[in-house]
Amino acid sequence: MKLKPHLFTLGCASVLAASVLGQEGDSKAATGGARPGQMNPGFLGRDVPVMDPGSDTSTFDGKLWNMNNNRLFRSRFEKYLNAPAETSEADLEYEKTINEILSLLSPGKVTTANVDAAWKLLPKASEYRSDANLCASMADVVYSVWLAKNEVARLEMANRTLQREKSALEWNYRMNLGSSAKSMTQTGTNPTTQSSILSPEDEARVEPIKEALSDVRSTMANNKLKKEASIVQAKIDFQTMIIQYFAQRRFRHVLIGTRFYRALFGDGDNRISALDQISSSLPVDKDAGQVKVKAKLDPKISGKGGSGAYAGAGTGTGANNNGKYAGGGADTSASGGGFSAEGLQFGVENLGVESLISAGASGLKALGKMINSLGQLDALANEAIRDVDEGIESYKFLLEKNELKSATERLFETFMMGEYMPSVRKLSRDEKRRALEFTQKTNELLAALEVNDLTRAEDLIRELSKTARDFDTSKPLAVVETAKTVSAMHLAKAKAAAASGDKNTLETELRAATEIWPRNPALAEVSGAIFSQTDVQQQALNDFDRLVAQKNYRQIFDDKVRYIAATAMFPDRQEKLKGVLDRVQSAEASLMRSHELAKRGDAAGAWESVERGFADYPDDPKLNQARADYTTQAAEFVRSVRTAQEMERKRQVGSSLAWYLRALQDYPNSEIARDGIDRISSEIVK
Amino acid sequence: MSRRAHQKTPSSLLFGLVAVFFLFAAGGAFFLQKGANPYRTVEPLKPNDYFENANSLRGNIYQVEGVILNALAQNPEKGRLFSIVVTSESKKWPMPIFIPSKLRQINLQKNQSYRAKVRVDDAGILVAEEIQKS
Repeated sequence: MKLKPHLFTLGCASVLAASVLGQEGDSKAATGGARPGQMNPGFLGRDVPVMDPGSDTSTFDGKLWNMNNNRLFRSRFEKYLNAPAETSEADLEYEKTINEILSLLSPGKVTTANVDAAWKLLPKASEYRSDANLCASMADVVYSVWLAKNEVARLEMANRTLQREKSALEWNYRMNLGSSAKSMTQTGTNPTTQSSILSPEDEARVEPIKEALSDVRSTMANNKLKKEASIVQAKIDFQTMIIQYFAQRRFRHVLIGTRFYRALFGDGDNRISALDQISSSLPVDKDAGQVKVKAKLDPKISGKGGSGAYAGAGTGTGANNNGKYAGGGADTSASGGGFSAEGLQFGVENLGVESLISAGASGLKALGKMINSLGQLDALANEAIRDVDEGIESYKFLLEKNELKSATERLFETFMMGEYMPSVRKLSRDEKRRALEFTQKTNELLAALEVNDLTRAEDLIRELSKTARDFDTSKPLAVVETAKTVSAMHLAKAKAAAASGDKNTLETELRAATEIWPRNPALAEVSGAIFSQTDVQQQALNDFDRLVAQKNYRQIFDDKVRYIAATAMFPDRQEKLKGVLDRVQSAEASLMRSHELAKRGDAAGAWESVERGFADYPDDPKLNQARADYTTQAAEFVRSVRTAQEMERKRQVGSSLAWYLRALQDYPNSEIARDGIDRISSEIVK
Repeated sequence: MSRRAHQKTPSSLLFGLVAVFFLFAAGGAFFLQKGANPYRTVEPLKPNDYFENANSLRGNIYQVEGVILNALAQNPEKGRLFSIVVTSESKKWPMPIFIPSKLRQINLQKNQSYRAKVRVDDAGILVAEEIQKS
């Protein structure tokens, strides 16, 4: 029999989708079933706990939980693994004492002297730390039995005295009756049936005798009841203690207890009535009803074909009058085909303190029917002792074979069953240490997987595979590799989104990648690159906006590669940049042309070239400088052009035209003058 | 053969003939001058003033003489716009002149000299009222 704790288990169903690939931004779906519960919502969602008996893990609310790995068990187990072996002199002495008690009480040796000797050894055994004073408690209970037995003997003695008194009273009663009444007095054990009619004198004489006789009879009856009750109570107390020791997994104390019990209550009645007694003492309210677990299946299953992708799962909870329900539905479909199922409901009805007490009482009654004799408890204890010893042997063997996983599991099971058994307690610290390291590493692995620290998980898997030959790396490695791949896919999408300036997708993909693998080294690298790129780009954009506001187009032109890259994703700024570059390029062309003309001695032409560039970009310092230089070299022409332009602005059409004509006369190739003449002439003849 | 008698010319007659000659010469000169510049009574335009501020001359009538440089623009209904070069104070002043359509019978040739009576219109443009070769 194994006492390993098993929590509630709900059946789980699985629905296989044809494919869940191609789910954009849905890392959970994309990881499929390879990821643990926190990543895969599963068929029933995360609200319904699901246990995987294969790996002793349970998932609930997105958490992965190893049923062996909880604080209560883990702390006890680790405390045990770190404790020294109980091989001290005191421990050996305690062991010897317990064995001596068992020997004294063994079936072939039970005598009053041996029972007394065994009882005397109990206080000695309880002096040892390992005993936790359980032997002292047993000694007290044995003593209580003896007291109860003494009380019974005293009551029997009292009853014998009362019996004699009763006989004397009955004789006196008969003697005090008159002759007429005597014939009518029905002698026997029940004087109350006397129906004779006594004379007043007789009545007065026998009345005190009748009362005394009645008192004696009732006292005797009470003593009889007390005697029975005292023995029954002593038995129940003793049985309760034995059951408690069994529950505490103190199997050798159970053996001692059962042997004392048989010796003390030599009536052959070994029935266990304590469980019935406890169950009947519980305050059961029959009107409370029973707790009911309901599962309702109303399947709506359909297949889908064609394209389109959606995968999801939904769960819901609701409460009606006295029940709580959790419902789960799932719909999974994919491109090319799909499968969906919904309509499964789990529910617990009539859940309350009264109904739970009622269920507990029923359970105890059922248990009382299964284990109804001390012989059964005795056999179970013996079997447990053997099983524990075998578990320890098995652990040592597996340890030799370097199969740490199985060894640790066996040790844990053995520990949970026979924590206080000598074979368990005598295991050396070194022997336990290897199991401790394995346990710590597996717990770390679970924690790493729970928080998606895949790097650490991978390292731990490698370490565990080296130290434990039987550690199956396929499942955890599949989880790690799948998560890594999915994370890499999200990062690739994030990069693409960053390159295209899609901030929403970038954020979504980065978040998804972070959720799957928060400590992914590539995540920091890619994020850094994206953000530094974003920073550089943002800085360039800020500079561009500032230079445009300052009309410092020359600066933009000189660093045009930077601004072309920065504004690539911003059409409005790109348009501005194009205008700026066109202006500066035009100015540059003007300057180059003017230099060429100046080299040929055509100062007016050079000025005009600069002037035309100046009109497009009046703030360019280079153009301004050249313009000033050539103005002095072609002063007359420049004066004519400027006067013409000034007159044109003042709407002095005739003078303006005349000045343009004069400018053309000074420099016949003047485009400014020609344009001005054409412009004004057209206006005149219009 | 007869011998003509030597006759002496009277001096009064000589003076009379000289006076008539000068009289005819003066009259001829007067008439000749009158045919060369028909706008001699019209004030000549000072190009410098025009260049300075044509608008200030609006409404005035001047005579100008210059050489046609280029045809700048034309409108069959309104007329033609030319540029002429006026020589004044030994400087050449290019100036625009508008020949309205009413003067279309005049055949204006490039590099030929013309004299015109012009009016400065509201836009400050010289508008020919009369024109002829000079």
